[in-house]
Amino acid sequence: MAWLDSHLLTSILLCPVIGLALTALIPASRTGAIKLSAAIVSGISCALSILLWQRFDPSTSRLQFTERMEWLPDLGITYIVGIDGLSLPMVLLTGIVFFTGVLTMWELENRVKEYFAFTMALVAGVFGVFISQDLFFLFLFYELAVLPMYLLIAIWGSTRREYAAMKLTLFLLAGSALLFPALIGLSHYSGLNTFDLTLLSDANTDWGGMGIIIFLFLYLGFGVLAGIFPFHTWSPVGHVAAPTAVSMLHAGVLMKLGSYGVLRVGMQVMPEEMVRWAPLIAALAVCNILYGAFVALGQTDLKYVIGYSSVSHMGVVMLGLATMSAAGISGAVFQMFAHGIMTALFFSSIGHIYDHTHTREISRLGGLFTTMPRASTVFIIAGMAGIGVPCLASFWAELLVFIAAVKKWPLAGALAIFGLVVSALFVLRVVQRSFFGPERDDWKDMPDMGNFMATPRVILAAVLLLFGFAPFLMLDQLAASVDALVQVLEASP
Amino acid sequence: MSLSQWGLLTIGAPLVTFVLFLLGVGRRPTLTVALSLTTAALACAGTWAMAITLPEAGYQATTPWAATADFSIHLGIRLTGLSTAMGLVVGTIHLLVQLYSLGYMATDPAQARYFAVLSLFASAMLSVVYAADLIQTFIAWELVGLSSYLLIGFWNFKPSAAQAAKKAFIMTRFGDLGLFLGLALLMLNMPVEAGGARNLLIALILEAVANNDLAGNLFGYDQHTVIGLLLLCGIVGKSAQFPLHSWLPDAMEGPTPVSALLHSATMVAAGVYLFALLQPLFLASSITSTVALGIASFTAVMAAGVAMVNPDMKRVLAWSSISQLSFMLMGLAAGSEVAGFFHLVTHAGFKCLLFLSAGIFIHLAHSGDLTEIGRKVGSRSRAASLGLLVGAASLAGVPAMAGFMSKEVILAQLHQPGYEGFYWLALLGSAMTAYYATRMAAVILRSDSAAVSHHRDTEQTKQEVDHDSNHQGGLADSIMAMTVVGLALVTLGLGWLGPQLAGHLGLDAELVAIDWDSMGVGLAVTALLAGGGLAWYDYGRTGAYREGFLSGLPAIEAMLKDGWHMDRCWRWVSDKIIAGLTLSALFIDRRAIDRSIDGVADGARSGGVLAASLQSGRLQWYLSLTLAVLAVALILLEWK
Repeated sequence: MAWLDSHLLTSILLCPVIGLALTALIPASRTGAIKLSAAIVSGISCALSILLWQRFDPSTSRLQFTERMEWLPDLGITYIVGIDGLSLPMVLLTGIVFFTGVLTMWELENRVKEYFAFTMALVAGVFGVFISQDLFFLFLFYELAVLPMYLLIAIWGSTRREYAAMKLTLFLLAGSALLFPALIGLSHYSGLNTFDLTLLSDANTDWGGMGIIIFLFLYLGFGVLAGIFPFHTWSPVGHVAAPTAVSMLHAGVLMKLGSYGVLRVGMQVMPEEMVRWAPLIAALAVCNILYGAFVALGQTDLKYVIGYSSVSHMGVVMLGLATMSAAGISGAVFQMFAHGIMTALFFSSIGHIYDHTHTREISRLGGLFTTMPRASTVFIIAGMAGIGVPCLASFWAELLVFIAAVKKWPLAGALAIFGLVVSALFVLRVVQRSFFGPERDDWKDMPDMGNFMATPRVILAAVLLLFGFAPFLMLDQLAASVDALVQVLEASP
Repeated sequence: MSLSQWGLLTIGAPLVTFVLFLLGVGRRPTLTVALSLTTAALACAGTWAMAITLPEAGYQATTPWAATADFSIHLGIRLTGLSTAMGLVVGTIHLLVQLYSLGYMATDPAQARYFAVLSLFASAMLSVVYAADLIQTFIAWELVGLSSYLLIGFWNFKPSAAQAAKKAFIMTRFGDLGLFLGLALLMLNMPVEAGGARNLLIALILEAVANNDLAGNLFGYDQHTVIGLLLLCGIVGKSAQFPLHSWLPDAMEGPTPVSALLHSATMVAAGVYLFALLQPLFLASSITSTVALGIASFTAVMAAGVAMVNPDMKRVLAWSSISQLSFMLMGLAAGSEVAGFFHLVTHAGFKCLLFLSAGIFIHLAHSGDLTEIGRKVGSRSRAASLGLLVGAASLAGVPAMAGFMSKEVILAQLHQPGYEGFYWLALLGSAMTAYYATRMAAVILRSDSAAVSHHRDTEQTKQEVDHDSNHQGGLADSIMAMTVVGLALVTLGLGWLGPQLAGHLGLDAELVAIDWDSMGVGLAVTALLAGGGLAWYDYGRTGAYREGFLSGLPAIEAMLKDGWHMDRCWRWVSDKIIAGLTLSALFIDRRAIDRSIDGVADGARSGGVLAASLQSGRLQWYLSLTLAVLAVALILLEWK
């Protein structure tokens, strides 16, 4: 246990890696054993991330649970992991979505071994990004998270899967192509010849003319993954094509890598540039919120609706970051977490419906509340979270972000608040057409979720409700780190 | 028990029912119903306990709930004369409606869900009432909206119910945008508390208004005006005032006891209550209070007009609620601290009574059409007839009845210089109220006097009838009848409690005293006689034609029957503006953004194809290419 205490983060990172090895060793025909090992590994990593949450010391903004190992000293590359209040919620989010995602795919029959192997690789990458404090490793893990998506979508996907997989990969690689020079630029122009994030942020480097280029490369490179307008179209297409649990991971966790990157690298290392570019970021974020919501309103496929709602909700995250205030940044991080859980819940409900009805056309479905009360309740709970109903986690996130936005840019704040009505429109429209109304003969005999398949959904809904009732659980963990970041931003000219 | 424990019990007990329902108790309907009634009784007891033991100086207990460095949000209870009085109304009406539902919903298969959501509704409304922080009010306010959505759409297999639920949610949400923005601006302009954070504790807001701390300019206008008008948007939506009123008549799609609760003590009352709560803030700006008066007086007349011609009993009552809510807002906006609120209390009693009676009528007649009810049931149901008579008399404003006593206080407040226009509109509204109340009672109870009988049946009530015809049973009927009779007796006395209410609010009883010799009372009685008399002539007297005088003016009648075409206006907004924005966003997304990005990819691919064609594998081709390149290179070198 002593080893575990001092290597908690590495242990979390190792869980999916061990899972990958186990999956590779078990023969492909023994699907039961593969699923079981995946469930155990993901369960352990989820439990460890809860342990991490519980052991975290909220009173300091310094990195905690840090581990260092020299890697390539000549190039300034060190294996450093550590977390502060900003990455803690992301680790917990990944743990929860990983575990519930594995359970959701319990009925998978096609190429089980490969599926879980790729999932493990993806999750290892995601955990790695959230705990790395070295830019090189961060980028490495980032690439590790992005690449398995191509295979997961192209092999197990549905609607236009090759197109979607290729589009997603090209977009994300274009993002990486911007990121890589930016990261090298950070290391080089800081004059420190290091990739250590803490050193880079503490150095207060004067970036001169390079600052603009590096920051924009960072913002766009990470922003693509966060689905910023107008580079968002890969995301809904990818959601739609991906199998259920991959959509959950994609929208729930992967998109957060982008916003987390902007927060961790962009804002923390280059606060002056952040201050300079904040109005642009806020303007694009408002576009995301309103435009995403309107496009969602016009969709006919359930998954496209939720895909575009993610575009809209990620706008809330970026708007919160752009306000550079305590309420805004806390709200943004809270929203990353809440949206991750909520959208995973959405996709897990749609997954069940699609598996049985083989359609996601809103107008062809109908009366599902009578046929599948559980699956429908799950969707409605996620929907209510999506439109910011209180007592669900995203309410608090949006409340804080919008108040902060009204303070900084009243018009942007007002427009973002108007987005709430549009999101209510698209969610309630779907609920009314697909879930309410008279029962359809086509779906009369469709089975509802069994107890086992309901478990992951119940876990996700319970998390939404828990943080909805007790927002202080989240905000207290964030406070010290957010305040430190805000001070840095306020000190910047 | 201490006051804070009572507060927790009152708000928490019904919530427990809902949470347990979600956790699986819902599979056992009897248990859920028993739990729901017990918690309703506990909550009701709590409201009484808090009202009785309220200390002179009021009481407040809060705990920080969500805090960042710049803002902090608290949860808690704040007990004042106003909040405890309102709490009494909510707790008591909720308990009555739960009892009545015991009979009304006895055979519904989804009974457990009904009672659980009803409990959530009450818990949310009680939280609006006792909230200590305006953000808490907002949270509870949204939850009230959510539970109305779930209750209006309770029979969600009916497309009309699903549609009505969505409409209610969206329209009130529309108003809530303003409320949210107003709250945000209010928060940002509050004085900073110790520790550097701002908060929205109601007590502090009222203090800031009193100290004139909020004076200042916002976007070039007085701060009070901007914030007040924005907050007013939320109130207009919630309390179904023009132009956001048209969700309320459709909300009839829910079970009748839900309407009884929604129209009297919860949901729509939340808007008026918020106005009463923040009255000093609204009155601090003459623009805001005048706008509020204008909207309210217009709505009062407009909605009463629709109620005069609508053939459906529950819809008449719905339009009447809209109109009566306007009277309350007029009283509050005109500056009286007690008038509007007193009317809220009496209205909660008599409107709930009318709805509960309507439930029995509709149940027996298997139709919601007034004429149909008159023909099939008439005065044969004693309890319902008593309820209808007491309720209608109160609504019409018969002297000494509850509605008269409170409306008179509002009229007296308006009857002063500066408010003449609003006063005459209110009087006109009163006369129209008398007309439709008398019409409703006469059509139902004097059906034998009819010369001809019409047969109209609306789609909506037919479906409700399908549901109603399911439950037969002596016990269920007698529970419903007993509730109605009990409430009728309470309502009879309610009008005389004005002085007690004023005392409880810490005000002079003189404020609600009625000067029986004044011209105001004379005018009010004249309005009553005019409206009621006309309706009696049209519908009540032996040999009446049973057609409203408005049928002589078909254009106006058609417009009124269509609710002033407001639904069409909103449909236009939805079909043209919202749909237009949606389509243009879709167009941009597919044609502009996605196509140009795919274009980049296609360009790269064609470039690849072009480059690949160079690698043809034919030696002659490679050779000639090499020669050509060399030639070009030589020429270029020579050039230099």
